[in-house]
Amino acid sequence: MTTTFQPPSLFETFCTATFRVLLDCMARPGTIGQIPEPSMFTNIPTITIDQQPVIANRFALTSCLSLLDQETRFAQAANSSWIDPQSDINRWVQLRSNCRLSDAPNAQFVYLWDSASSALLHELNPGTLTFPEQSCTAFIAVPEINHTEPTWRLQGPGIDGYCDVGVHGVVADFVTHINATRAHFPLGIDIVCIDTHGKCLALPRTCQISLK
Amino acid sequence: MSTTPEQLYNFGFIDEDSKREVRRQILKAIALPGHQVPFASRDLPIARGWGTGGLQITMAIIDADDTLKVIDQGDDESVNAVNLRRLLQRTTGVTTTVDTTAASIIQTRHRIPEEPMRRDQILVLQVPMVDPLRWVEPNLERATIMHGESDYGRMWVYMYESVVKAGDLRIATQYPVIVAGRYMMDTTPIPRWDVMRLHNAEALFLFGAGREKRIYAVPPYTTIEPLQFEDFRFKTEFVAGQICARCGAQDTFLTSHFVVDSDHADGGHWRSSCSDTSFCDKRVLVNATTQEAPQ
Ligand SMILES: [Zn+2]
Repeated sequence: MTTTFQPPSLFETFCTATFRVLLDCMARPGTIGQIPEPSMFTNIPTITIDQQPVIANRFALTSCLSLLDQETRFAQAANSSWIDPQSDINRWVQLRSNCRLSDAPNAQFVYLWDSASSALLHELNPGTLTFPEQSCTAFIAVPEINHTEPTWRLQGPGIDGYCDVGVHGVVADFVTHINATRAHFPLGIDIVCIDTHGKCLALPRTCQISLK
Repeated sequence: MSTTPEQLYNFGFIDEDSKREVRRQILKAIALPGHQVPFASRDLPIARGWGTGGLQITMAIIDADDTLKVIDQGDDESVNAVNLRRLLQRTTGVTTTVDTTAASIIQTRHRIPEEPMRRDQILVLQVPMVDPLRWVEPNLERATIMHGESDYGRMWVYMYESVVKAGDLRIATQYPVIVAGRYMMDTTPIPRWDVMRLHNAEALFLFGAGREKRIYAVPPYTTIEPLQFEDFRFKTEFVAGQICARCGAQDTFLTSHFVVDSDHADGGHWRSSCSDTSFCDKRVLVNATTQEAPQ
């Protein structure tokens, strides 16, 4: 049979492969997926925190970017404060996705550079009863995710009973901040945590998290 | 669909921005099990009502490594299934199969395959009618508000009066369920036979309605409760003693065909066989092999 399609670009291949990881992780909270290497993105601008340059988690930032286009509004935060829309890092994301830069309450996607920024989750749009799907999705960079040293117990749709998972190097209030976003289902923020190796853990608003 | 080499389609036919939009809405649908998420349904080279909703989901999720199966009424060889499979195959180059166990994505109308689906498989259902509340509230916007408020009282009353008292079976073939204890969802167009196979399943189920522009999902390990009453329990189409005339299966969903037979007084007779033709073919083959083998 003849095929009549254009071979996908490296970026399109990355977007599709990344989406399938996000899909599997979102459908099965507790599953740890592997985000593919975003090799087409080089020279991601650093940001400065306390006069020190900080490098983005390239897996977390680019997997968020893979869902952005001119229809979506985006914001990012580091060290518990929102990053200026005019900054190099925001313009870098905008140039590669055509997304619109936004303030926190109107953002549909946010990238949080660290777990400390989870203190800002309460500023995001949780959707409405009629349109709960209009809520924000937050990608959060964390140091390490594994199954070998569990710290959390997860329950909810997508999980056969319960699932234990380890999220390491995060601030003490992380789970408190996340749980506060989903106290009023169907409203809520859907969250994707990605570690420095590209390990991915999705926490849809249906997912109940308790500390082990 | 004829093209010259200069007119290449995008991988998966629809453009990347369309895919991204469908992808964003699928992720939200999974986070809100059973909730209908609007999406900007695109025009496709097939008529709406012939699976454009399911097709756009498949086009948005499919990867070059996937193995695709397409069925209509359980049948891989129906005209509609063949057309959809050809379009997807030509615009992605993926391997196709009729074997449920070999597929990573199964696009279907009317049926969930008989063989249990695994965690590495996604079932994409083409949906003609999305909202279970259409029986009591034909206006989709008002129905959306009712879903938001869990305002399902009128639906329960309607269900009781039409199904239990009047024996109206139209709704019984489009059985409403409650997903994960919250949203009421229509299981159109699958038979009641398949309804409880959505319950705590291993696979992910994605539903797409092209005409009504909605996507919804049932994640794995999610509860499905059919609307039922003390004096009217949910029942499947199963009839005691039913049997497939081809493979002899006694626990599958059957369809009936009229077989023309001039010797017969009525000019023929009705014959029932598995609606899942690939499953039935497998069993016929196994039966033939085991009969040949000496015991
Ligand atoms: Zn059979």
